[in-house]
Amino acid sequence: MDLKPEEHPKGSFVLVMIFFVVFMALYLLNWKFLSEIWIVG
Amino acid sequence: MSNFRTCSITGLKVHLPAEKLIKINAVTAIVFLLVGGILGLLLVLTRWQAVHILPPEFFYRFLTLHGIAMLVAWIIFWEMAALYLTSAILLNSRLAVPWVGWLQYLLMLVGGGMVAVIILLGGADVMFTSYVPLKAHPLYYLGVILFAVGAILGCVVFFATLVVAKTEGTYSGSLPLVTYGAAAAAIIAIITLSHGAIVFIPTLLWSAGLIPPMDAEVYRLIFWGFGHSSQQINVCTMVAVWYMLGTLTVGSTPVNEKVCRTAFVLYILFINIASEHHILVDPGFSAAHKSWNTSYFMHLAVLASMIHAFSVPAALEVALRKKGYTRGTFEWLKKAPWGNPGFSSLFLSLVGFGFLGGTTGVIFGTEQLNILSHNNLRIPGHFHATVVAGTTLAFMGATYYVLPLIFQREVAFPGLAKIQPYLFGIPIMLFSTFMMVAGGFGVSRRSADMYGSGGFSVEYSPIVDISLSIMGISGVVACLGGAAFCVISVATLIIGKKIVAK
Repeated sequence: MDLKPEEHPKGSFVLVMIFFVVFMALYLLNWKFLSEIWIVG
Repeated sequence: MSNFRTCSITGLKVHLPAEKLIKINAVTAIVFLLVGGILGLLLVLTRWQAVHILPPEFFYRFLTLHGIAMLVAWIIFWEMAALYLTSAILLNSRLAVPWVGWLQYLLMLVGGGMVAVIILLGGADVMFTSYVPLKAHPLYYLGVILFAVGAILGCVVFFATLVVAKTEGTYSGSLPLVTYGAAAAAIIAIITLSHGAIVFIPTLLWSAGLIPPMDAEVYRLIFWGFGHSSQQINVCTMVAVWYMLGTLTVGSTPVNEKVCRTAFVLYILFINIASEHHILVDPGFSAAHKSWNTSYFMHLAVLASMIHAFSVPAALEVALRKKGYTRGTFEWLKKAPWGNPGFSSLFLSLVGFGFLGGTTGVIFGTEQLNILSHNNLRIPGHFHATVVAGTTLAFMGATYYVLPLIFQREVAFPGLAKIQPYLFGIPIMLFSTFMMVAGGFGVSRRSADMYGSGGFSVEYSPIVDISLSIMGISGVVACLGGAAFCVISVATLIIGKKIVAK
């Protein structure tokens, strides 16, 4: 699909980046919870 | 040609036998949604510990039927309607072998009805999973088998219709993306429903006393090829419905359709493997088996979801920018048709499924992290985000288009229809979130009494009471939102203004 510069989906790119940040934050938070509950060593 | 009419809105040729099957499957789906919703209300008022209305016997009975009615019956009846819509109607074709379509409907209705009656009579308090050696009445297993065979027949009719459409040249070029997505869902459905039939046939024989007990771990492995994979049919159909709603609401087309099609292929190849996360704490499977299936392979299915997660909003954004909403980064989002229930359902479904359901699905399904969630409320919190905030909301949005296009009625109570997706979607996201918070603090799932009716007592953080209260209130509001959908749908069929063909 040929798009003019003003038609590029930059808003969706920002939304997807927000999604990635939320995903990574939740993922890391869960590893933190695991490290606190299941103490190794 | 007398078996066709021309849709006055889309100009599509509508095969009348296909239309009848779409109508009957859609109506039956909504009846099961209503039954499951009423049970859901009673269940949420029980898990809300401050209210706690059901005794344990009825809690487990109603939870079993709620799971079957919502996770299986409502969704798969609606998907049968979607298969006939995306094959015969979208391809301008006749439906192949309509009598097999009616056999599909009858088998699913009889099977689903048998299961519901047996559960209500107390013959199958075994929960959705019916893990052996928990034993239900043989008719329960027979009902599930009939339902699964019926659904397989629906998929056969779908594929036969694709062949008919291709042979008779009713469309040119590739299959439309929505039909392609439905085909991917139907392939997954055949794999899934075959697992259901395979696992429930020996279970039926065991229940009837004809064969010795089967191995519990083998049962769990095969069962989840049905139990979780049936939710992957939903994911695939939901994504296809997202693309359809994008086209119907703002006229969107994917920025790169080939990439979207590739993502659907990734679903077919890898998404069923995700079911293996259900056996992460089973001792009989090796760590390597679990790691491969719940990480490396599963992430290829997650990649497909990531592709759709960008492709769907990007398609909406490009369509809206082409309409002139090009200022800044988000003018297109501000000016989107938020009063159109099809669009609001689509967007809320996208957000609920992605941010809540998708993220937690990957996290909870990771081998090491799974132990934080296993058998606590985080799990139903996750799947209410995927199946309810995601799939159910998307199907509700699509129903607002099925009503005028197939039932030829204007949607009744349009003011209520405008707010219904918000009334249902936002509370169900809160419900899921706070269910997961309570689960994170150790509240178990599938338990009539979190304080331990089994002769032991536990203490919880005060956060649990707050979380369960928010979960309870938002669950009740979501039930009202779901009831509003049922009222609108039924009222449309009864008093909705007839759309006259021009």
